[in-house]
Formats: sequence, structure tokens, C-alpha cells
Amino acid sequence: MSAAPDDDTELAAAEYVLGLTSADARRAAQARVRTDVAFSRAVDGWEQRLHGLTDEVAPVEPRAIVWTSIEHRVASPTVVAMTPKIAKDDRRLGFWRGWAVGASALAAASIAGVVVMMAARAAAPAPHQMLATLRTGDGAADIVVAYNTGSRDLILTPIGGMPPPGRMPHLWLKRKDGGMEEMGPIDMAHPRRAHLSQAMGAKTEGALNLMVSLESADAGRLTRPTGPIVARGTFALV
Amino acid sequence: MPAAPLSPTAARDALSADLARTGDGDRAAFRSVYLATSAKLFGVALRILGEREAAEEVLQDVYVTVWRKADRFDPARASPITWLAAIARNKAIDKLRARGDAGRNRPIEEAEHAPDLAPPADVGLEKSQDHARLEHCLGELEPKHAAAIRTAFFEGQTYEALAARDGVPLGTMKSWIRRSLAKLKACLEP
Repeated sequence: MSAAPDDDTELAAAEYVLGLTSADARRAAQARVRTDVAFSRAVDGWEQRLHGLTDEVAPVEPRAIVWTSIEHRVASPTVVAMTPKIAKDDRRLGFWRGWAVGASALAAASIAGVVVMMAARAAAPAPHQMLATLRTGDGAADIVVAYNTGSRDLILTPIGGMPPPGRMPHLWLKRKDGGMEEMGPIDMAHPRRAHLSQAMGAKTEGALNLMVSLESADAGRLTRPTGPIVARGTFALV
Repeated sequence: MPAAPLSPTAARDALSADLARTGDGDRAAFRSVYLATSAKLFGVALRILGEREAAEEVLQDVYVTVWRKADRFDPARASPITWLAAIARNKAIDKLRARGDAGRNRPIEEAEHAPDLAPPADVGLEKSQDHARLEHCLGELEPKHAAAIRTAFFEGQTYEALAARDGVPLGTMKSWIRRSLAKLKACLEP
């Protein structure tokens, strides 16, 4: 082995590997790994030294859809940059039924997300259609959300599945900054068309993810979901 | 999906071979790598992020990275699972930082089905020699210092978050950890 890294290099490597530092310091360390051989070797050394702790982490099976998404991403290079969000749950369990059962409502809430994910068109000015399907595992209640960026029309089409008495599903946009924007309650019995304001249209165009929370029927306007998230979906460009 | 039981050395060799083939673009080998390691890496990411959806996104990114970079894996430099776990930890910690967390922050949907984050029982877990040595060396440290190192490793917490958690000044936490790291390194020297 060549000369050992100095103490500062060792310490910086250990701090990076343990995850003790800020986002900026991590980016700097990641750049250094690529350019500084001594540092890169010190990082390898600490990864090896501390790896034994990983034995204490219990394995947890990810859902099957994770592999499907990975296969999709490695198969189509144009898709990779989008990091498709995957569905919350692909178990074949009832949508509203899960809620009625009680405490395990969230475990039972089944959602499917991405249908097709097209490559992002950077700063694409041409009007386009965005489509998301928030689908339940047993197909009891799909909610299809279509948005036209030219007309700023949002069409919400619920298919099947009524919420339990006293409950009302609400649709949410997850903004790029991580905040949530309420799109309003969903009447599961009727499709709905809404013309969005310019501001709301911009937020919708900027969002990738949609969620449905199950709220009290008299909840009114909300600033964030208070009930369980029962469905999720991801916008795709079509 | 349980893999056929293999001795640790045979499992490591099989994984190295599958990674090498993945580097050549062999999808079946890539699938084998995934089947052999995804539950462990998901456990690692979940423990750091505390949230299933975020951990699944990280897991996707991890394996897309593995697919692209498997040809750079060098079995002479690292064991395959160490290499994979490091990718998973780094991506999970990067995601944690990107959402502005110095430590774990659970979103609302976790309230009702939070994953079990307690340390696992030993049953069914294959503890390695590396783990035994590391445990021994951690056991030589002040218990509070060892606990801070473990928390940093498992949860990706920053110096600041660890100091706040233990109610000590930042400088004290840095000095605990830095001293402990030097001791650990000396203790783990071959």
C-alpha cells in the first residue's frame, strides 16, 4: 500500500462516509473522490471499516414495482432523467375497503402510478397534455387526471369506487419545492372539468406528483392533507 | 425472495461475478444482483429515510447506478456488498439532505404504517467477522460516543443533529466523534 492518507484526509473521509456533514460538504467530498486518489482510497477504507454495521440492518423486501421501474429505466435511456415516481402499493387490496377496516387503512391503500413516462422536454413551450392515473390495487377506484397546458383545462375522471360515508377524497399536487397544493375535493360519482388560473396552471405544469387524501366530508378547503394518503400518481407527458 | 443458502465466500464470489457480467450489459446477471441484495439495500435506505416511498425512489436510483457503473466495480478494492451498500447509503443520505433534513423526518403517511426501525433480533441475521470486530472496537469507546457513531451510520444524522439530540455543544460532539474515529481506526488496523 502506498503512503497512508494524512489525518485530515482520513477524518474528512470518515465524516463523509458516516454522513455527518451538510449537503454542500457532501457534494465537495463527492467531487474530491473523483479527483483525489488519497481521499478516494481513504473513503474506501472507511466504507470497509464501517460496513460491518450494515449487518444490523434488517432486510426489507421492496415492492415488486421497484424492479419494474428499474427495468423500465435501464431499458429506455431517454426516461432515466425523470426518476419516475412509483406507486405507493401494488398489493391487491381494496381501496376504500382498507379505510373501512380501520387502523391499517394506509397499508391497504393501493395506488399505481406511472403509466408511461416520456422524456422531459426542457422548457417546451408548445402546449401539451399531461396525464396521470391514480389507480387502486383492485381496480375499484381509478382517478384519471388530464391537464392541457395550452387551454389550462383540468379534467378529472373518477372511475368506480365510492368513499365511505362521511368521507371525501381530495386531490393534491406535490409542488417541486415539496409543498402541497390542494386541487379540491373529488366527487367520485361525476367527472369534473376545471379551468385553472394562470398561477394554478403553472403549479400544475411544474408538478410531477399527485396524491389523494381521504378527508372528512365537511373538511372544506385545506392547506395540507389531514387524512391518510390513499392514492398517488405521477404526471406523464402525452 | 430467498436466495439459495451459500457460504459467505461463495455468495461474495457469485455476487462479484454477477456484477462483472452486469458491467457487460447482462440483464439476467443484473436481475440476480437485484434479487440477492435489494432487500438489504432497501433496509439500509429505509432506516436512513424512515419513509418507504423515498426509500424506494433511492433504491431505483441505486440500481440504475449499479447498471451503469458495474463495470467500475473492482473486487480487489471492495467486497461487492460493501460497494453496493455504500452506493445505497450515499444516495439515501443525499436524499435526506436534499429534503433539508439533518436527521430523519417522517412525513404524515408514516404515522400508521411506519416500518420497524428497531434494531433487529439476531435471529436469521448472518453476522460477519467484520461486524464482530467492529462491535468489539465500538465496545472500547465511551458508550455515548459509540452511540453517536451508530446513529450517524444508521440514520445519516449530521454533527449538528447529533449534538442537539444528545444535548451537548456542537464542538463537544465533534470532538467525541473525531476522537472515536481515530480510536476505531487504530483498533481495526489489521
